[in-house]
Amino acid sequence: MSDKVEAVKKLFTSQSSRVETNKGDTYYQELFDKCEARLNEMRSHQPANKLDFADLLEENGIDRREFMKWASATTAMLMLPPMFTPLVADAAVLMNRAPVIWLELQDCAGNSEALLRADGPKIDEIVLDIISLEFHETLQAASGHQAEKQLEEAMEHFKGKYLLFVEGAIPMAMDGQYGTIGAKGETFHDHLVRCAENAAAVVAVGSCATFGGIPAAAPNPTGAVGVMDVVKNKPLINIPACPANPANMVGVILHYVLTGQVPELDSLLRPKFAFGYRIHDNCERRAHFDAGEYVEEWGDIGAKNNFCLYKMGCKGPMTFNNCSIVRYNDGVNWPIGVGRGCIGCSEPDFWDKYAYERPMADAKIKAPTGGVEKTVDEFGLGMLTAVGIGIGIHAAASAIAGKRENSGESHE
Amino acid sequence: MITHELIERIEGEAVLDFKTDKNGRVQDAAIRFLHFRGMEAILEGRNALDALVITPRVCGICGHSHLITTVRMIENIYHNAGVLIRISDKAQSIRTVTLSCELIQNHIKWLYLVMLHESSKILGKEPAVALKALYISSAVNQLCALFSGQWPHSSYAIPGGVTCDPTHIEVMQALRILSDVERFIDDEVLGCSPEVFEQAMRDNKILSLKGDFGTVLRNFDTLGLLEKGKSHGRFLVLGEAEGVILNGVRNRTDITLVSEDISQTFEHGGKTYAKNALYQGEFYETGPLARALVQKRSGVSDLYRTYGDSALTRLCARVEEMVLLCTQVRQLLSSLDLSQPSFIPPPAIESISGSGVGILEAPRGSLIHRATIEKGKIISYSIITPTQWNLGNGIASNLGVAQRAMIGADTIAKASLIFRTFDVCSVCTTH
Repeated sequence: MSDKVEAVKKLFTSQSSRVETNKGDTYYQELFDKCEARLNEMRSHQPANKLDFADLLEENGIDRREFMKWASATTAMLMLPPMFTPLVADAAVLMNRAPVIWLELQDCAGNSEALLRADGPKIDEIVLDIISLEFHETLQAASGHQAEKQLEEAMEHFKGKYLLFVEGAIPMAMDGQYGTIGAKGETFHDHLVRCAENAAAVVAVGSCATFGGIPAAAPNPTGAVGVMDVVKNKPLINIPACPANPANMVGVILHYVLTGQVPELDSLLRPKFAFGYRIHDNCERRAHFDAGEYVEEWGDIGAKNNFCLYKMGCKGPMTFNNCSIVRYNDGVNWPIGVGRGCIGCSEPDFWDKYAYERPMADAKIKAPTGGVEKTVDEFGLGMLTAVGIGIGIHAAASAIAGKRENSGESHE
Repeated sequence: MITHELIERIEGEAVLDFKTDKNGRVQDAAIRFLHFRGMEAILEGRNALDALVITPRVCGICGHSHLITTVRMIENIYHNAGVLIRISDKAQSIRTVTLSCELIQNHIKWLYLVMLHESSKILGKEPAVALKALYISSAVNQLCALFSGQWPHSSYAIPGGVTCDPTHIEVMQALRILSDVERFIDDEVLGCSPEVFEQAMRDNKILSLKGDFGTVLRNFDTLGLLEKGKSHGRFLVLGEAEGVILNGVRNRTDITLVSEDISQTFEHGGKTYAKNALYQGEFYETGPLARALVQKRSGVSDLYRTYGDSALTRLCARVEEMVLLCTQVRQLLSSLDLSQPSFIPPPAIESISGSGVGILEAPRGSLIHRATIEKGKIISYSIITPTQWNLGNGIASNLGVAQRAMIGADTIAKASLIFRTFDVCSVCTTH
């Protein structure tokens, strides 16, 4: 266990998250040709879902211009040059050719709720509607035994072609008996292994499926682990966060339709297009951090003026995710928008390391130094250290530190 | 004959074990929940304020209820430790608004994704994809997020108030979204104004409603289920406007009479991870129907007098609550005094030792959080969720609420539909 914790820490603090946003004309031209060929091939496939994209756009009063605006923004989100915009638009239309099977394991269904248009820009919502969700425990039309049969059929029919989305952790203690599914009482572990066997790729959605999440928080009563600890020898994409942002789920599927490949990943198998930058890098309150203006206490003058939440324990400076750009609930808002700091929910072990008001200096982990704006980063990190000293030790940190010692886990 | 029926399209999964006679009529039904996370054990040993970010993760559809319950619990611990906690009217109203949003979106999803869908399916009708319901519940979540930052899994409420500091712009945006939601309820759900709906309940003309809710009721009528699903007729509301109804008599509640029964769990040789929640040692129904009856809301009470605690009354109570909540949210938003403070600082949690309880009316009924803390650190934490009340698994001589409602149904499919009228949530039940 200790080795694993160290390994995760090493991954987390490594330099591999650097994002290369310009790979040169030759690279993009080759990719463009490949995508074009791929889309032509997709066009010849039968749709796996009867919903029609054009009809849905019209029903929802979205015109071509608005759609192309979305395609252009999505192209940028996927870190592709503007020449890919028409291809991204085509890929969206062809998304109903990508069979997706969704499993719900040890979870709260929060990611399904997110997918159920808890958020995501409007066209993303429609794109999600037309994704052929072949089998989803919460959404599917069939239920009970009929649904089990449908799952078997879908796995057989789309053998080697479907994307397997997994929500929830896998309880390993007590021979996996903390979570069973279906009439035969198959354990979540066995269920996942079986469903992953013939998947084209596996996508772990949300913090529980990626790194174990809340069930794996100390003392991890059920021995919960993430998908990457169970599924081996299979392309795996992690989309962490609690809940995961639907825009990133759509991004991964779009990328798959477009290129037939998994997107470029960081050392924690997170797509770089979404997890290549820290929350802090694009935070709307960043200017206040740079100016040394902080909220010192909930409700104070700083809070009223939307100052930086770092001293209130915001983990934005060490959390890789695109919330500060994409936001939540149709872009309406996000936690920092309501003066509540980031809890670092897309990072491994965040429940034990970051959650709530423990400023980074007390979080027992080195801030990752990756990022695109090196000079800004260095400046920011210098500032963090200074602020950290100024804050002193927070009682919350010692409480958890004690708990982690008790549970036999090592500190960095 | 014994049949195991999987109940899906809920949060998580449940298994129903039915015993049927030779005609397929349900003689006995047991409810099992087969997954467990151990949320309470995870909370213990942490700073009490950590619970604010952890408990919302109990549930993906009612996590906000867990947040507000935790906040109330911590404030109650302060109170019991002799510390006065003040919360501005503004913060209180904002908490109520966001909580109401969670109930409204939950009820919309339940009505369309579960009730309309499942009842149509049993009748052999191809259920339409209820995209419009998803879009409008998404809008409700946006309204919530204007104040809470995001939905699901927000933690914007803290002991002493809320972290958000909304301006008139957010309030205007919220009112605009609310108008869309009200229009959806009038045009799509009810097919009439709330006043006409209210009158239809009083006049027992509810089946003639034109909207999608009318379709649900007519589906139930065709299936002969409107007057089925009767249970003990005991009702409990422990949160807002509390009260308990036993033998038709309403009384005040006493939280000390609440207990948990673990006799049906794996730990004691049973077959489920869910503990039963009991009041005075008995199963009580909690949720929208209990709330409507305890508050003596006229339309639902009139239906109850005619139909008892049947599927019809249960369905109407949830839809009526949705209508009522919109009105309340409008009033709260319109009367927000933005000049008041969002947050009034309480003393540091590390200075506090003691116990407390937080109680709240969540989408599915009464939700209870209890904890003991020592110098701000959680010593013990206990959560009782609404579905533990309604979906408890009793024994033949003392049946759970939904269990009793299912017995006697013509078919397993109908019994399963009755089960779903209680708005099943599996992840909450075991947590």
